[in-house]
Amino acid sequence: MKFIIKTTLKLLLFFFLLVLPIGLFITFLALSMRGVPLWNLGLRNIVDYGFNYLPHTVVVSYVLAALITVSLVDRIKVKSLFAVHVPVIIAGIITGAGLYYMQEAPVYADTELNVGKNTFFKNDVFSSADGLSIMTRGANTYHVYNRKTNTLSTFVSRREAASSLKADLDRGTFLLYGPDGPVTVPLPPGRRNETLVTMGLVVRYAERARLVYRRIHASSEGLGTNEKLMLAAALVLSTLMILIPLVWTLNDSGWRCAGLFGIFFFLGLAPYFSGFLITMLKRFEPNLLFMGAWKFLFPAVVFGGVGIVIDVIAGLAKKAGR
Amino acid sequence: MKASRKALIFLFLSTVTAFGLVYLYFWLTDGSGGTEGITRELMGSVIARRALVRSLSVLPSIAIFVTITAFSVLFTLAPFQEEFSYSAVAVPSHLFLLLLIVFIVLSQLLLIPKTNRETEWRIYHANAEERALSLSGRFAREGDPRRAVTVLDTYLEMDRMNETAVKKREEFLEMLRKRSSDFGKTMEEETRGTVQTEAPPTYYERGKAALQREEYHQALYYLERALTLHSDNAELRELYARTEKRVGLLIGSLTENEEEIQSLIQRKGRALAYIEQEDYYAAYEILRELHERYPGLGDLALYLHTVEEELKKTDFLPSEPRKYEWLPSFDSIIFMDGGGYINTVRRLVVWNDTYYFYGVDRYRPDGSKMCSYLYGKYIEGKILLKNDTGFVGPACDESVIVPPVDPAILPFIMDTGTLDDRLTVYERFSLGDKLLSAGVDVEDALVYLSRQLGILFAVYVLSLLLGTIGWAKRSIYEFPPVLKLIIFIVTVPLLSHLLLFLYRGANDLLIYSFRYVQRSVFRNTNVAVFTALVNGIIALAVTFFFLSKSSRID
Repeated sequence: MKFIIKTTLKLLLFFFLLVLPIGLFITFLALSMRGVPLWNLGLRNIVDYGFNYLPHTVVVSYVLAALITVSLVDRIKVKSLFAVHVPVIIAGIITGAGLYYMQEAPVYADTELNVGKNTFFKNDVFSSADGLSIMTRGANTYHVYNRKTNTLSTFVSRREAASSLKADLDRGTFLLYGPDGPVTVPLPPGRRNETLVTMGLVVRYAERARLVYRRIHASSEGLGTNEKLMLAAALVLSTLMILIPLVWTLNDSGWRCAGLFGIFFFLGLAPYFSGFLITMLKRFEPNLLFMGAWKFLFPAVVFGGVGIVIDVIAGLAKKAGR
Repeated sequence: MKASRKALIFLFLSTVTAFGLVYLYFWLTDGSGGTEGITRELMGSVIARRALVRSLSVLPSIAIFVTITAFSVLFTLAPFQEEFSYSAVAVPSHLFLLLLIVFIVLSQLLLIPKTNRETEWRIYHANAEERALSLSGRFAREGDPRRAVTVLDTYLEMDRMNETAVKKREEFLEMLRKRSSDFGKTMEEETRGTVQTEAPPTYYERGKAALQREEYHQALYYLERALTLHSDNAELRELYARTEKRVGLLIGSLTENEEEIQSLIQRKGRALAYIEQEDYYAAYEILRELHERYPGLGDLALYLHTVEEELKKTDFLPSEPRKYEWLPSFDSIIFMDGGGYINTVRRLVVWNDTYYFYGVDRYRPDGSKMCSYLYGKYIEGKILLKNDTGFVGPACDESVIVPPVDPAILPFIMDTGTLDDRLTVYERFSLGDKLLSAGVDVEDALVYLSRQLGILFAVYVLSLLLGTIGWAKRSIYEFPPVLKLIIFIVTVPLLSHLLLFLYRGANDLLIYSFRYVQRSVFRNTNVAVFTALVNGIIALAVTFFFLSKSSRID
């Protein structure tokens, strides 16, 4: 009992330590993938936008905290793999409940980014985008240099260019209004020096994770809010069911760093493995009538099943080792 | 002492091995992008440099990885099974890490930018070679070996020892000789006729030599130059008078019109006076007209040549950039000059440390077009522009651009990423403001310094922190289990790289937050000092953590 309470508290401590950096990381990654540079985005803007990713932040922080806690458990004192699952589930219930109730609170809102010309352009310098170099002067003058034709055009945009910046953010373009009518111009990409989110491996991993998330989201269309929440919780727990025994196996009392390093090894593989499982499920389209109204939980059941199998193998391997 | 020595050897060998493997990986996987057409030999040199730059960029991650490996695995192996104190491995590791950080500083701030620039220029010269060979070959096939030789002569100005180009030139010259044998002199013979193989040192001696060859106009020119220097030399004055008389007879043979002769002499005298006053444009105007009218007068040709050489120090003829037009170029460049005008350049050709501009348009700050020029050349800190005109006079303001930076930087300003990798720390500080005023999106020098400090502190903090954690959780086996070791080797390099990026990202956040912090606390300081301070505190804490450990196994 003492172990369960102590480990749960440790997990929650790790969770609260991780939630802010993970939240910032996810927010910046989301902004970067949307092509929004960070150097002139106000802090309030970032925080407001970050709240859109509160569920993602909570889930990732919880999973990471759980795995770090499991990898640091002293296996000389604690021998039962089952016992390690209990604090994880308890902490999961607490954080899940917290997230559920936070949805009602005013802090969690579906906020849009507040961007303007100054988000993308520095005055009096040329920014490159798609074969064009664009310079802003003052409030509404734009010089646009076309590198292919070596021509410079100047637009004095009388209309509010900021509104077009907001509207076309997802397309990555904005409108300039000149004497001959509107012209579509690409938005310059973010500066290279935002190192947090420009590491190629990180971006590729995030895109893969987003793909898996979208597949799951697509498969849950038509479900009510409570059912979606149930599916999300079940998937998170069932993913942990797979990861915990793997990390536990590497948590070697003789070399405990292996457990810590192993977390990143398995997390790195997780989106690819999950993506593979989901693809297989879609391909084979099993008959889910036996699950009745709970058939939407089938992916989580499969993940959990795989986790149980790994638990059993880990347990048997340990007995064989003895 | 034994443990310390072993620790240093392990660390050194691990670093060299890891760096070597990374270098090999980059060298083998270089896709040779952007190197089409360059020789195999140069391609090897370019790939080697690129691999070196990429390996040096990854050196911070290598440093972290080596430290983690050392404290997790290496210092637990058989050579370290005898009893030793923690400080026997901690102190040499710390010193080795500091040395590695110094090397990282030098590579990030100096070596990488310089190597990148050098590689860029090598590729440019290789493209020039490829173009010279293909263009000359095309001219030869089209039956114009003279143009083929001209192209190769231009290339060989820069690279005299290029065997392929020299061989090709000989081939085309031979082709030209065969073709020209019925039609007079070849190019070589033409140039040989006017160039002395060994010129006498003084004007007086040159004048005497020309007299012996009965080239009286040339003799007159040299003796006139000698007389301006030694006007009291009686022998020289006498020789000049005789030569002048002889030339007078020759001029008389050109025309019977006494007035014309007098006019010729007067105008030549005026031209010489302008030369003495260093008003070379006025002298050029007179001499050019006289030379066109009397091409046989050798002294006029020589004076004209002298004036042209003087004018070329501050001006140029359109024939000069036309000669180099076929060379590869850096295209579509835009920048602002000191007067606030926007200048667009269709092509920039760099040859023999000389910069030629083609298709230059100038715009006023409001975007309206001011003027256009066909050619430009960088002379004495300015870009002189002109259309198809010769030496017409001193340039007006419209046709002179004072570039904000050396033109060597201009090819790289169009892409922020390219420029970032090619500026040394010194250039960042000395050129930063100038580049900004030119409209180049370059980062503030202090912000750049803050980011570099972030890299250095990231290496220091992460190496010590993860090394210490690794030491606390280190393996108790004489040799770690194979599967776990494999997972370790697969995961830890990537993890080191990822954590380095995360720390640098956190440092970026620190730099970002300075604008808010500056409002209240750090008013009179700059972002680099703020970053160094915060990172320094973290580094200090981690150092204490690192040194607090012991060799006891928990």
